[in-house]
Amino acid sequence: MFFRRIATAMLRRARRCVLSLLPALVLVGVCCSSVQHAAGAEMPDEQSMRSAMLFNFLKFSEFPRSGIDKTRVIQVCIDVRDNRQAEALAALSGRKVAGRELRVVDFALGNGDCQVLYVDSRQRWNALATHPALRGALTLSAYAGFAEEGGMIEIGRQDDGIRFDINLVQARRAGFHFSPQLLRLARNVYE
Amino acid sequence: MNRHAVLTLAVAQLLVACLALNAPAHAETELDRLLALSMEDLLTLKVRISTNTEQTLSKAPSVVSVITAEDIRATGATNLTEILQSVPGIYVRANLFAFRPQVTFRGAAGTHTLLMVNGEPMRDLVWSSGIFWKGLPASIIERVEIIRGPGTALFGSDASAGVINVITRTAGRIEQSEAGLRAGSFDTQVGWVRHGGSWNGFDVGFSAGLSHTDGHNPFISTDALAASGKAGYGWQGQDIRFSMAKQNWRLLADYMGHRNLETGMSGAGVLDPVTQARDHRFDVALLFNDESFGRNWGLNAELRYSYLDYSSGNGFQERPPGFADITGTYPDGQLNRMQSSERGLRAEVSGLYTGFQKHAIRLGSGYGFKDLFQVEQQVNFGIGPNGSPLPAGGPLVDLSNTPYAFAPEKIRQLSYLYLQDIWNLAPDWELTAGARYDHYSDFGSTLNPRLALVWQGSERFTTKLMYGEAFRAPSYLELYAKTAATNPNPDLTPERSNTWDLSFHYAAAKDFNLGLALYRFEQSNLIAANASTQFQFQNVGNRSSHGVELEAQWQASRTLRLAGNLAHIEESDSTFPKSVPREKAYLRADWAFSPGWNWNLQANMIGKRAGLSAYNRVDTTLHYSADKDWDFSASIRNLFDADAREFSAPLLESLPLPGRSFYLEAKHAF
Repeated sequence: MFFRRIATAMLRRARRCVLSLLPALVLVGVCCSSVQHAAGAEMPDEQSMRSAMLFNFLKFSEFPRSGIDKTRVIQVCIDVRDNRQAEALAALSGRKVAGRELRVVDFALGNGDCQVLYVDSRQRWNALATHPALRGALTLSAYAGFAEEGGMIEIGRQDDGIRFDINLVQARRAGFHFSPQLLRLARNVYE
Repeated sequence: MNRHAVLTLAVAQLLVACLALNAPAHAETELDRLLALSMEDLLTLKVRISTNTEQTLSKAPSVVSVITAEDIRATGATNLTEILQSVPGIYVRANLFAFRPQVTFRGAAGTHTLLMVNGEPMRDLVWSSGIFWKGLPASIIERVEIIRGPGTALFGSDASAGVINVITRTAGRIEQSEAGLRAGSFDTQVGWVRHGGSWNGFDVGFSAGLSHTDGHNPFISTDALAASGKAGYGWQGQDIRFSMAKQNWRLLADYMGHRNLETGMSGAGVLDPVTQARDHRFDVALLFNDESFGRNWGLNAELRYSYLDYSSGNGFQERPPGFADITGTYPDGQLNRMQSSERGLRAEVSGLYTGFQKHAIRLGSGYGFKDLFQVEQQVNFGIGPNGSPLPAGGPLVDLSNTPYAFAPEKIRQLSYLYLQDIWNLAPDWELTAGARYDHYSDFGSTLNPRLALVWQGSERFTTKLMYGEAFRAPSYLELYAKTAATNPNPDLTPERSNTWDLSFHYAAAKDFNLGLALYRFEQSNLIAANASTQFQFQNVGNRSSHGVELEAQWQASRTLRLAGNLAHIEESDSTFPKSVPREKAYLRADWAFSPGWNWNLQANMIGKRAGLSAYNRVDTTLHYSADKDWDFSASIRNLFDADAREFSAPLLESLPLPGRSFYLEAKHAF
């Protein structure tokens, strides 16, 4: 009896709430009918796209012997301010590339052993470029000019799509080798 | 079929239509789909570009805390002010007038907190933090960024003790449509809907929420006139937000309003059962952000318009019917009907120059004005429109457009310039130096510097030493507005403060973080109106305090997360009563005991305040995600029904806070 009374009261409140929401729901109904859904299957967001690109770069990269051979883990350090980008990169954690598990960590919280670094701005790249923890790390960013400023792979936008540039000089200096297939797909290769 | 049934059916049809339209979207995550594609295929895809134009607090080297949407969901918080209780050094004080939540940092008054929504300050000209401010609904919040310490060198007035920037869910960040309902104690009902999509190449976002509560209506046994009764704190709220974004541009249009808002008591501590107030606020912002505007330049620009109005309705009832003083008897009581409007425009441009090696230089400038207009007032006591005293017991007379109305229709203009350099002195060292110059048309200029030295001793250990100065501009209430409780003073100067901070962050292990902040906070020129100043506002106060804030987060296992903090304040010199606790502690546990389930338990321990006992308040929330689409939670606030009370100066008795209360919530994403 007691619970039925509570349930009846809750239902009454819920109904009053829905009724008071009617104007807003009508507006949303109008939106629903005239607006395409954002997460359309054919149009991924740029953050997820960059994560997928990073994953593919690792598949087509040969790491220096001193880099990850000692361990079965590839530590991807990130220093980004865009939460959605951070989440999209973190979603790579636990996935495997050539049998090695990816571990995505915030650069500030990592143990200093980065095999890959992703930064999102020139300012943060300038701050980290000479950091000792990044010797021998594959470096990536999406800001314009990264590959010309000492970074290895720059993920850029072109028209409505994604392109990438490779600074082969920096990559070879750190001991990385990229598959010819990857170099063929790059927009620019600096050598 | 009755009217309600017809309306319910209409809503159901709309929801079904939306569900049908959006159903196929989430069969797998977007990333999974992309990872299944070859590199060649990825390069053929068109990409939805989201913009990123909000100002983040992280550009300021400070003691920063961030509260995420996940934290909000886990703790069952329904309002911004509940969320903020978890931050070390923050104490949310309820005011007896309308039970307004005043967010205070480090023992300072709420007026020394700068609270922004998407970079727009929520203050108003007359009452500083908003006469009918009720916080923000949690459902609109994506994250909350908090600076403990001064932020004036970047953000201007009010950022003396702390800065809060609420980032709402806007275009490009609303992944799916959602509708939610909440109901609970005090006849509380809340409902909201949210939708994100794209239209003609623009990201668009929309959210709308309605709320109603009767309030907890505490019994006041002795008010300022020795009367007793219940203080009514009910209100209804509306919150509607629209946003559009494309590449570097973002347009935000927000509306917030309250109606049938019971103030419960007058500002002077007299029970007021009459007032049913209302307010409306519109904010429109056009934002531009391009981090790669030029080869070495990033550019931010913003243009903001705001409008707000507020009205006391048929109140305020400053004194009850039958009240008598030396002028005679007031059969209808002393009534004070007030309303006014404000509008403002602000433009700001800032650039980030990174052309000098190891330097990031931000230079910004802005101009804005705020205009107080449509000031209307009717009273049946005090001074009449011709300057002579009104007889007791007479009718309401109109003071609008006379010098005796509560505030003058007046424009305040503000221009400002700021410069900040972040210099990477050495690989592990970063020095930030900056200053901001503000010029106000009504009380002059002020310059406030900021210095911060950050040492990243190792990947795990960060030390920050910071110094900052700040100010608070006097409000129109203090400068020009005569109320039943206070007299204005047009010769006031800004309140001043300076703060030293030393903070340490140590990532002791992968899953264990520790933070420690020590500070010294000096305030001077504080504005107050009390018996010693004949209730006229004057720059009479000083306050000196130092304190320590300790925090820890530990992911104890895959399913158990523990967090807590402790804040201690020592006031060595203060003109004012110690109305905030010397000690405050917060503990939180989250246990994901089964897939989809999370049990949250949090405890807020508030220490003694002037004349008030300490109390512990425990809240608990059980949360269940049935699948990706359905979400349920049940919360109990103040689980042990602790007798929690708030300091309230004019009252002989303290203000009781809500007892045990229950809430249920359901959300559906589609």
